[in-house]
Amino acid sequence: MACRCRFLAHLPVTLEAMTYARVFHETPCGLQPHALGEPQGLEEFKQAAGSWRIQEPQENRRKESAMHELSIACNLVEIVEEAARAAGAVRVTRVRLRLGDLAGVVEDALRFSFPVAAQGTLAEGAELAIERVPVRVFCSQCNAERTLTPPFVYRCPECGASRLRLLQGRELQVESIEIEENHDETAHPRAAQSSARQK
Amino acid sequence: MKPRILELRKAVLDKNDEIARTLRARFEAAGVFVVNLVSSPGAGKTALLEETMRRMLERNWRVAAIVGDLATENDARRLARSGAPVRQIETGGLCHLEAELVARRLEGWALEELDFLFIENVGNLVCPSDYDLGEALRVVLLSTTEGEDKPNKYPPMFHSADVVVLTKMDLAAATDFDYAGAVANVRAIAPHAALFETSARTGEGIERWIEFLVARHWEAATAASAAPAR
Ligand SMILES: Nc1nc2c(ncn2[C@@H]2O[C@H](COP(=O)(O)OP(=O)(O)OP(=O)(O)O)[C@@H](O)[C@H]2O)c(=O)[nH]1
Ligand SMILES: [Mg+2]
Ligand SMILES: [Zn+2]
Repeated sequence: MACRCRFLAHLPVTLEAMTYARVFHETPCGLQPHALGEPQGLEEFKQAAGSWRIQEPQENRRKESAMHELSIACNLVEIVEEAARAAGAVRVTRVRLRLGDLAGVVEDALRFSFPVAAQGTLAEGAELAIERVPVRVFCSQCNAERTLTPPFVYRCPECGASRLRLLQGRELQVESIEIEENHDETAHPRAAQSSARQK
Repeated sequence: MKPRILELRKAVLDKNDEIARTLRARFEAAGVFVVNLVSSPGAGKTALLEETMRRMLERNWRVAAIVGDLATENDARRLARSGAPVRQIETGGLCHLEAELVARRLEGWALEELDFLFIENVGNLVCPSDYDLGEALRVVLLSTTEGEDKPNKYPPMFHSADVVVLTKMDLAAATDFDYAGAVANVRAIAPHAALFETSARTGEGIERWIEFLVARHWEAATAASAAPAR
């Protein structure tokens, strides 16, 4: 929830952020209009957004989940920062994430939310590298692995059987992070402290 | 300065999953059957719960509810009229419930004195799908006033459902609800889910739904007592 405030402090900055603000304003899972902060900001935003409308179903999906991805991004940044601190990093340069097609996370919205959530943390400015994980199932009738595609009807694409075992596709996992370390420990008192404690 | 790669292999929602696991163990130990209800806003979660809890209370089941709501206490007040203990989680804009919020709200509640705990999630078909609350049963509601293609539009949510309830059946005719299409879509995305049809207005289907809950509760309770103590 803290990150929501951080996000609001960030608004409205870019046109895209404005678009999202508008989006939050309209979505059932989004923010209340008053939560957009300064009424003045809201007016400016409305003017900037102009006749902007959501029509494409894809856009629609993205709008409904933008808030969702933001909270996912905050969780992600929290994990990354904790690990980076423990390792004595001064900066995170890259985050590698595995994202399943059935994870319920829209990649675009996550890409947008990540820098917002990372602002002011060790992960600020880090690259988010996303590896998509297709939905794979095991069909016992075919005795073979199959790949499911949107809308992910739970049926074997070859034989039509619905007795399937889900092998992968719900992943939402940080694989690794790339960090920069500073070898002068005094420059980073926290890291120096934790390594001292371990001795 | 030199770059270094740290392997993490950690689920992004690891923290939530861990709290949910602890909750689930607590629920099982206390013998309370926990049901998490999700749907798009207004699909009838509160109405279904009002009717369900009222009837279950009449039969001396010990039921309680936790209601997640973005801003108001209206749903909690509606449910409390049944006489059951009801607690409210005001999410303050957060679009789903998280295990931590539930855990915090449970403080001071004697879970052993409950048979069923219903959790009404925030009205939203996207965000709650990733957040395990430690529930025994995840129920997704689809109302006849929505499009029958909802399962195809929100596969992750429907895929994660143990039960799908078609609600507001009394309005099916008036809204030209494509019943066969809806059932086919649910079956396609969530073939494992048990399917119910209810109307909170006429009471249609509520008895079957309650029988199912009771049966599942018994199953869980016998499985727990048969399992070796850990
Ligand atoms: N005719 C009819 N109306 C219903 C039924 N169930 C709910 N409604 C109506 O639909 C509206 C929304 O119902 P709620 O129970 O508040 O829905 P909800 O899912 O709890 O809504 P949120 O908590 O806001 O997401 C209310 O006006 C209810 O009276 C039903 O079975 N039949
Ligand atoms: Mg409600
Ligand atoms: Zn097959």
